[in-house]
Amino acid sequence: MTTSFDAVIVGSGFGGSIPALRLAQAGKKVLVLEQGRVYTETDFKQTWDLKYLSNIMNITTSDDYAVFFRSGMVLGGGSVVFSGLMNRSPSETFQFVDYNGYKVWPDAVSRQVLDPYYDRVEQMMSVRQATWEEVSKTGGMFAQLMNNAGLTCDRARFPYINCRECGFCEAGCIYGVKQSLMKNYIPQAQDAGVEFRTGCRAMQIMPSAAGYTVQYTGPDDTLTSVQGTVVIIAAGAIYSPELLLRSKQYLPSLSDQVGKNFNNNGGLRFGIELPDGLPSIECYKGRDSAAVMTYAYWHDYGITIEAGTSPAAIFAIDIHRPGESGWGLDFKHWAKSVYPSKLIVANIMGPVTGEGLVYLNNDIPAVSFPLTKTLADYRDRVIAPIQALTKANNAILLQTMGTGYMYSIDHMLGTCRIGDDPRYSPADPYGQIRNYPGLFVSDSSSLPCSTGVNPSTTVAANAERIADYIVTNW
Amino acid sequence: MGIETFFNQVASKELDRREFFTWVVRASVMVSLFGLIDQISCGFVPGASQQPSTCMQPMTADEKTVYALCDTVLPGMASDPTGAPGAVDVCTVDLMYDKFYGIAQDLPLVLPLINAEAHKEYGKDLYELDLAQRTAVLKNVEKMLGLVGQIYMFVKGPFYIGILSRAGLDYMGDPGANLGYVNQDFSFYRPMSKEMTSDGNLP
Repeated sequence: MTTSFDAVIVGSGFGGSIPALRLAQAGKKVLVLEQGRVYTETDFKQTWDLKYLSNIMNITTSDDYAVFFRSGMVLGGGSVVFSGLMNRSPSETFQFVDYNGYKVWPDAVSRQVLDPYYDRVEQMMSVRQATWEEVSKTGGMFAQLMNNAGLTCDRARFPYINCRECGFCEAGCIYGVKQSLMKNYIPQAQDAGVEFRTGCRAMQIMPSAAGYTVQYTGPDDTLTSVQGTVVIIAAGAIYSPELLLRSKQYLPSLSDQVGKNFNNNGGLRFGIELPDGLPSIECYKGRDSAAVMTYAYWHDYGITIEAGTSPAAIFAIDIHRPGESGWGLDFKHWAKSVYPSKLIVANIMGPVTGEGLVYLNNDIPAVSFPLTKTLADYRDRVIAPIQALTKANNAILLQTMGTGYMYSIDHMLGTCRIGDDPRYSPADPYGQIRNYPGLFVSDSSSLPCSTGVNPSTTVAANAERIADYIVTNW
Repeated sequence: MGIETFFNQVASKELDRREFFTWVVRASVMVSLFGLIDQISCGFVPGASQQPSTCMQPMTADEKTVYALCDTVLPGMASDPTGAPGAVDVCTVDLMYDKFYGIAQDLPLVLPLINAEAHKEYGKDLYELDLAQRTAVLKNVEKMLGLVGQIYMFVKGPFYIGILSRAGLDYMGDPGANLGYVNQDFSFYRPMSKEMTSDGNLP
């Protein structure tokens, strides 16, 4: 088995497979280590069976058990289990200044800079705007609510070809119509000579004469070492900092910012109970994303909203009318009365200062994500226009957690963020870990803040940008 | 709070009884949920009913209390005036005691609190009360200790996810796994709003 490479990449999601292809196309010898296994259309199941899902996702909670987080753990990473909404981040996103007065995105990154990389990603993944015929009734009804309030709602962009609307995108597409990385970057990378080793968990990174040594445990639990002139960490916003923190004894000059600035893309989940008299939206039909996105609140409130289709499993979370219970006979009958005809679940996204933390607790990654004043203020600010929207439509704004709203669990960012100021960013604007030349981070952990929309396309475009830098400079 | 800090605080009596109970319930429930995530085998075959032929019949007082807890959080055919199925009809009690879930080991922490409240209000154990009384008891317990809401949420899961049976999904009108909806009525097939952008992206 080969042990020496030009580049060793940890993780095969957007942040890993994209640099793998670009480096291989530049003639580099590349190894990708992926903790998950290979799943294809014949392996995926149309079920929310948690045992099955735990085979393709990492599921963890905040250390106060209040918030669940999930991320892809399979060859292709998040691209295999995401809902498939791929909009570009609006220009203003890259100007976000946090409450410390720090402009979190480096000057080298802007929408204008990323646009050519977005183009590449969209071409590779067949991303296009949905037609109205491809917008599910849930999405159409959400758009109608916006329209009734005199507000706009746009059709979203996605990577589907001949979708069957089955509603199990996030369990893995059994039809192979969702154009995950398994359909483009990964096979092209394999053709270009990239070696993918699955079931391999990176344990530590150590500087060596040739660059870095990466130790990993394989499927048989044996410890193996490989050498890389360049090492790229792309294991996601929880597991990338985990690897760096576990390697800190070998990387003593690592920034104390590693693991800090964790944020969930400003994700906040809410429900809408539609008034009587509207056609049934059959809310289990369609892709997991309802293929609509509203920018109507972007300029005044700094948020976007996407609507999603909903299986009955949504009632296993604490969705309920305000002031009423999320369990009991009345709840059961209420759930039946609104499902599947009158329930819309949607997700707010927007820039907010990241105050969470990923740290090691007995060598296991833990996430601190408390409801800080910043988050509470953000929640109160962004819920206000939704309350107005539901009121304008004689609808009811539903709560999703106790007496509040559930923080969404899919978009984790910021724990190894790029930036201009070394005091606040562990990586330079090109993803290179400060004080460690040749050690890069290129995944969601490198994005310094919320992307304003679903982050996958921006993670991918940024990975293309960082890959360009590595090819040019290494 | 880490376990080391926890035990240090217990030793120094910095934790009061309520905090102690809160910590234990929270930790044990979440351990149970992780057990569920890691271990439970719950997949059903698309289109095939896997309604278990029989669910566990409660025998002991604790089992009867667990049954009553499940039947209160999501009342079943016997308790619901409409006769619609609920948690006990999809064998949720079995899952509460399933070794893979591990929640059974946590119940001794919660059941005494529930029954203490039941005795305080009605002089009986939970399982001896009617639905309205049981509901009142569980609401009081939830007010005292919000974290039991996580146990109530756990009780709802098998019904709405369809872990052991499709009965909950059938009741809700959710076809669950299927072969797709091509050429079926899934869209309004017309513009539903004005749009701000030309291609779905803001500049």
